[in-house]
Amino acid sequence: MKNDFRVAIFIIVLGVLYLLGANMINQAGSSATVGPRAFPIGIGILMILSGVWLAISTRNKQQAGLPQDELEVVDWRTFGMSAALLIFYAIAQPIIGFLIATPLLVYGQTWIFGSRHYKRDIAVSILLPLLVYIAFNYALRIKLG
Amino acid sequence: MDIFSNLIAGFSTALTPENLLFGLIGVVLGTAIGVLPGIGPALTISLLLPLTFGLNPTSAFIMFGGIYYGAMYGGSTTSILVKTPGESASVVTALDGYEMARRGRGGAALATAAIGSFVAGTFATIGLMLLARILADFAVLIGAPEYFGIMLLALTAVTGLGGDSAPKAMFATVLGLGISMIGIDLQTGQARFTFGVPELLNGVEVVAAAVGLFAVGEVLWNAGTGKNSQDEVIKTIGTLMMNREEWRRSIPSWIRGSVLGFIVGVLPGAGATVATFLSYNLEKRSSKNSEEFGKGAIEGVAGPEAANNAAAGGAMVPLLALGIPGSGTTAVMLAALQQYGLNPGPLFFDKNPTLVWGLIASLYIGNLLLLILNLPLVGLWVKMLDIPKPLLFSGILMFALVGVLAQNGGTIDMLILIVLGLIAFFMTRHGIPIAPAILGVVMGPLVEQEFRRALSIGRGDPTIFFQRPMAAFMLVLCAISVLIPIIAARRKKSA
Repeated sequence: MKNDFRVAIFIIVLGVLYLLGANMINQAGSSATVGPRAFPIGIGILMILSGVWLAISTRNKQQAGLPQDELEVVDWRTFGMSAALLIFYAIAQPIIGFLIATPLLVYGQTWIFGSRHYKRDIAVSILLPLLVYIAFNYALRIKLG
Repeated sequence: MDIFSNLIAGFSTALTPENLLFGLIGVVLGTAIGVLPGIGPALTISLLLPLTFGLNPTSAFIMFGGIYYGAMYGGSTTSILVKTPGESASVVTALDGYEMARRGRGGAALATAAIGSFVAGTFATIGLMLLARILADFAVLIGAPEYFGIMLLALTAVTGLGGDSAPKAMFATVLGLGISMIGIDLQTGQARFTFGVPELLNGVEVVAAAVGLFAVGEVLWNAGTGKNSQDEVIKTIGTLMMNREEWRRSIPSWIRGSVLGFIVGVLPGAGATVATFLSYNLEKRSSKNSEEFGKGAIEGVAGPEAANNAAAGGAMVPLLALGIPGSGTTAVMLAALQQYGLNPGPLFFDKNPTLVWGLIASLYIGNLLLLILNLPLVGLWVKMLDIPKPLLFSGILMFALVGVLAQNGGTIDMLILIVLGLIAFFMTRHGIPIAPAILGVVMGPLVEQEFRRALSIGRGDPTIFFQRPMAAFMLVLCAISVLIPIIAARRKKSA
């Protein structure tokens, strides 16, 4: 539950940042009854309120001596590599093309997720993107880069 | 009897050989993806949605109806044959379904789920035809303040049903609303939260939000927490024929589940998961063999599976008649309709009769195709569960990105998807539910629009919401739905 306090604080900070962002919206020359700022400001306030509510309910649970939820153990290395490969794909795909980037993505992720069946994984990584490419470009007539 | 002539017209559009083929493809793909553990209907639909982009609206709907029902059916197959289905709407089915499968009656469990879904789907389709029209006719009469109230209720109901994690559900909803504000404000033309990035001017697409938050987030979570081991799957299904006793016990459960599920589905915020829990309790209480529950009682599969399908049909009522989605799945469906430039609402039935009735007919055809095709093919679906998790996860990530590319997306659009996935990862880590956020993303622009309309009716006077009885009533309901978890927590504390 100590973690839920941190989450609550994070939510409140996010709400404040959202409010600041809402205040940056250009309101000038707006003749509408409700300008472009009003709704985002309301959202920011509600976000802060949800954070405060979480903090209070966490404190109440603590005082009542309720069991504390443990966070699951995360393998940050796997998570980080997987996310990094996704970002690499987003940048590289328009440059090197779908048919080169996608097999790299599929094989890379499979490897990151712990599979070491090299022959099988490489075959799937080449065939699956090819199949998708053909299906989209020829059967569905949707162009993939 | 204009409903029937409309429906016949709907069926005649839906039943051409070409459209039937698309329906078939939809059912097969929907089931294949839906059967994978942890992938629920909302995610299946959002992953497969790009496949329908190139089709004309009618064919796309037929395929879509197939995907929808296929995904639902796939989910129940997993919950019966896999010990840990990992998806909320299947939890209840797994209690008795898995036990039945262990005792060699898996086939009967699958059959009662499939036939029950068909019964419920039929009931819900009829209910949808009758009720949606009435609701739409009524909705024409109400104005923006009332609309705003109803939409707000759909959003607050999610918080109210959040139970112990109500503040987290509220945050998720508000976060979704916050994300939906990104882009150009349509009324004033001002850019909001775009930070000078031109790709953000059009806002975050709902489908991208659904795929990013559900699919990318789910994969990152499973991979990051080391959930790559294969699930325990029961392979010996036995005969798909139910015996006389099983029929006798299933039929009343199907009927109860259908009625209950439909009512729960129509109400805002509740959705399929709540329907399955209520139905399971109802079955347990009304059964003479209540001691069998949890040990493989067929009613415990028949009731919730019917309820879950009927709820899906019931949720279509507010979606089509009011344009208001009540759950993550219907939020994605609304996004799908918007992709074809369709905005459901009170006038939807009058403006697009061919499409609406075609859609209703296609949902029905999807339901029928499932029954006659999927049950015999169950052996094939079970094989899907053999796909090694690492390959499965990379495949899902690939399809998520393909969805962006299919809409001509570039690097920034893919990065938005990835960032949403990272957000979902941390939300899951801290027990914040994802579905309310999707609902928020879809509802944000609609709520704001009605809010503005209401205030311009009231010439800027916010008391407009309290001068109109129905709007005021809705707002009172909103307040109650938020207060319920707070009061419940108080009670628990003092007890």
